[in-house]
Amino acid sequence: MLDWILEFVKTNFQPLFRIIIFPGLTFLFVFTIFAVWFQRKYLARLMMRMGPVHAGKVLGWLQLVADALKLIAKEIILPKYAYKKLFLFSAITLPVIPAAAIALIPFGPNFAIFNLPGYTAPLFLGIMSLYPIFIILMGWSSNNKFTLIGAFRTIYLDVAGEIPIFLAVLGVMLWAGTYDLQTIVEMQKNMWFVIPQFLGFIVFFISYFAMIEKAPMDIPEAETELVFGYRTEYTGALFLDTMMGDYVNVLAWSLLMITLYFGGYHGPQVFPDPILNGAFWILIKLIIILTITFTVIISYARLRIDQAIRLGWYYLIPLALANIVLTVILKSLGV
Amino acid sequence: MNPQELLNQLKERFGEENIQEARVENKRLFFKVPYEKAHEVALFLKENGFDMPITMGGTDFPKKNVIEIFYGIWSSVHDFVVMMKFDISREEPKFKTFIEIWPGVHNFERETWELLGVEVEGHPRLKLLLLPDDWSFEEEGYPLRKDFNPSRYKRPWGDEE
Amino acid sequence: MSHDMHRYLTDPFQEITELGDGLFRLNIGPQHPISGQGRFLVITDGEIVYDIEVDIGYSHRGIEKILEYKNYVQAVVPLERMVMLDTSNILMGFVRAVEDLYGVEPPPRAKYIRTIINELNRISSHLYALGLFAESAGWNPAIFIWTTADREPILDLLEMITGARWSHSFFIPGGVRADLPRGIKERILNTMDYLEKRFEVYEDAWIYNETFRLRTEGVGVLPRDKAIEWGAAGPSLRASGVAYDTRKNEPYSAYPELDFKIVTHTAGDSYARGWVRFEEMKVSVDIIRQAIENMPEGPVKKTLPPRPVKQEALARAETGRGEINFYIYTEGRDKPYRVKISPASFRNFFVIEQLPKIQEIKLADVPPMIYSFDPWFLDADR
Repeated sequence: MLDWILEFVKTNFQPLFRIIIFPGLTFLFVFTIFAVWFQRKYLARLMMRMGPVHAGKVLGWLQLVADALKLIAKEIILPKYAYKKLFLFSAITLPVIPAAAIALIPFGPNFAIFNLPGYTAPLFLGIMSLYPIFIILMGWSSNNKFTLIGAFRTIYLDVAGEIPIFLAVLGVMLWAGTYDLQTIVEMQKNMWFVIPQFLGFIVFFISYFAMIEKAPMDIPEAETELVFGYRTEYTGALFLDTMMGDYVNVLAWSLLMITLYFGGYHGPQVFPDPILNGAFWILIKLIIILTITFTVIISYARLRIDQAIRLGWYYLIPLALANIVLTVILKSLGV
Repeated sequence: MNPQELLNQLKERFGEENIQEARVENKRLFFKVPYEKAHEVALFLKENGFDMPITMGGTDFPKKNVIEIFYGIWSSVHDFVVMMKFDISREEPKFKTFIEIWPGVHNFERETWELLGVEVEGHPRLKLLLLPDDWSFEEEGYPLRKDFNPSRYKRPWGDEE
Repeated sequence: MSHDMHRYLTDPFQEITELGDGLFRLNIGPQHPISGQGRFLVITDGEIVYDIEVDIGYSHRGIEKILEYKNYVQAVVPLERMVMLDTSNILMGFVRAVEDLYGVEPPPRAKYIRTIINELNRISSHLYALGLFAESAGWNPAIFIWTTADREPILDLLEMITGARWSHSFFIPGGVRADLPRGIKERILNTMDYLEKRFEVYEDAWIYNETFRLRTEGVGVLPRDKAIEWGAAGPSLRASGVAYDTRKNEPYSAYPELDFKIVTHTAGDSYARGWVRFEEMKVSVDIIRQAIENMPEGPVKKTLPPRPVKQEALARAETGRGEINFYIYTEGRDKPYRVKISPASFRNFFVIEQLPKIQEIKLADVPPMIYSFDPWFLDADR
């Protein structure tokens, strides 16, 4: 038995390493924890306070472990009138969706969890478009007015955010002339696509906040009126799970942004190994993107749902279409 | 218009005998009317620019066997306050609402109803406002009446003795 | 769809059949991130609000009744519990009423000390209110934490002057308890400089922020005539264009000798109410500077005569939330026979209930609309 396992690991070391260690499960867990810690400390500084300091000697790094332990130790309360199977299933499945999409992101030359040549960019968007469905299931199966309103708002917000973001990605695909994320990254060796696709990038960046449901557009979970939106009824480990889904979602969209506009794993040579070098640069870019995201989160008040839809349909979709037209013209001129 | 002029007008309109216990102070006019005249006087005040209710309530006088109701109305035109008071019987405490004249007294009248046990006729929403939902007027009484004894309520953390 | 599933689909709408027209009742409070010690019953179809009912009374302590058993100095302590953020302004109304009853005029130095403490308290109350207002518009707690941090130097000053950060019990009928400590003037002036610097930061980051204005402009518009009719109080009244400020219209303490203006706005929406509060803090800073400059010397308290000279008094004062007035009836003892307190929040809650009847309000607008009035349940409950 043991021999068989060892043999299996030896022969399949590369894919197993990708799935379990990097950029797979372990990386996702560690990075989620890091992102939460980073968000807390960074936002605390912007708010003129310290953030967690006590648990763990240096910068309160153990605080998250403590919080996670506390949440896991808490009772999981199933609301009496909730549709219990769906309630559990939707929350547990939630982090899987963006994690599955991350499997398509190249972290180095030909180094993705799932090295699929061809239609990876549309596949990524297709997988990510499942995410709101699980949020709607969560809100609906909780059988609570707050969660239900939160779920409905997610539908509206998707209408406002998903279409422009897909059109922006279409612009990149037209410019690159390929559907393949790996090829798109390779084409950015000399020039990042943020320069030719600047209009598209603006659309992507604004819709990005609708897709990750963070501050200017955290409309579905609007704390001031909906308590915690679709997540209100979740407690303990299930709540932790939904938070995990939230952060992996942020991670997935940030990674797509880096891949499409900021040259993916490209960067100056730091490590001799190209895969190590790629992973290093993608992490650096990820941290910069997260810093910008958190700064935006803290600088704006939440939009109302009708304002978000107006932003999406009056400004972002026309801008994205203009970007596509511009791209087509530039390409046909042979730039 | 200053308080003294308003008082003169009121006396002229409603007669000396109806405007009782009148007292003029700096930016204040206190007076008392019989209950039958109260709504007429209120309408007169409203027509003369006394549009903003700032206070309303009642005082229980067991010795005189009356409950005195007072309305404090500020005028955005003349910038002073009129305190109109009238007595109602303590046995059968009720008066007609003033909401049509001053909508802002809605919650004040509701509060007077529950705290003083005064029936406000024609009030659209006589529903407990400040008191707990399980408050029983028969057993516990009306808190702002003078015969209400708060000392029979124990402190939640026990008595000091 | 199975029968089971169908039941779950219809369950959330159970109350809708009661109300008809696809409406349901949303309980905001008493356990809700924004509610405080009260409840807002919102009747909504999910996004558009048709009615708001404010359920106050969760913290009714019967202060009016308690005061009937306390003499005028003892009454100070329960009264302060009405609004812990703004204790001295609440107390000012009571102290004015008692001084009116006894015919006592406080010494001039006491008046100036009262003015300084009132204005310090007003700034700290407005800072807290504005922080909550920003948070209710969906801001991450950044602004709330900024304003809370900027309240600290003011609370430190109040602690130096009165000995307590919140419930000072510093005003007594006839004056104030003690004189100012030595060296406090420079500290107050330094704090005022600091606050003015912070106000500039607030203007850049927050008051004129695009998303904040998007969320609050045109929300919960209170027209001038309705504001008067419904009895709105304080900044809510001034934001609707009524230039009423007790400090100016019925001046007390040192206000008649100081030069300041009433801040008004004509829009009457939530943003205007917040803006009026913000500008009032600047006016307060100015008032404090003037009061320190013109501070006279002399005693700080007088003893009350044994008997009141009047039977009843109605005194008004301007608190952070608006006007508070005290009607006191006495039969000549050292205790009042009846005290009627009419706080600002009690009046403003009624205005909040009425607003959805004259305009369309969305569910997301409810928190900023409510917090633009800065209502305080403890204030309304008494």
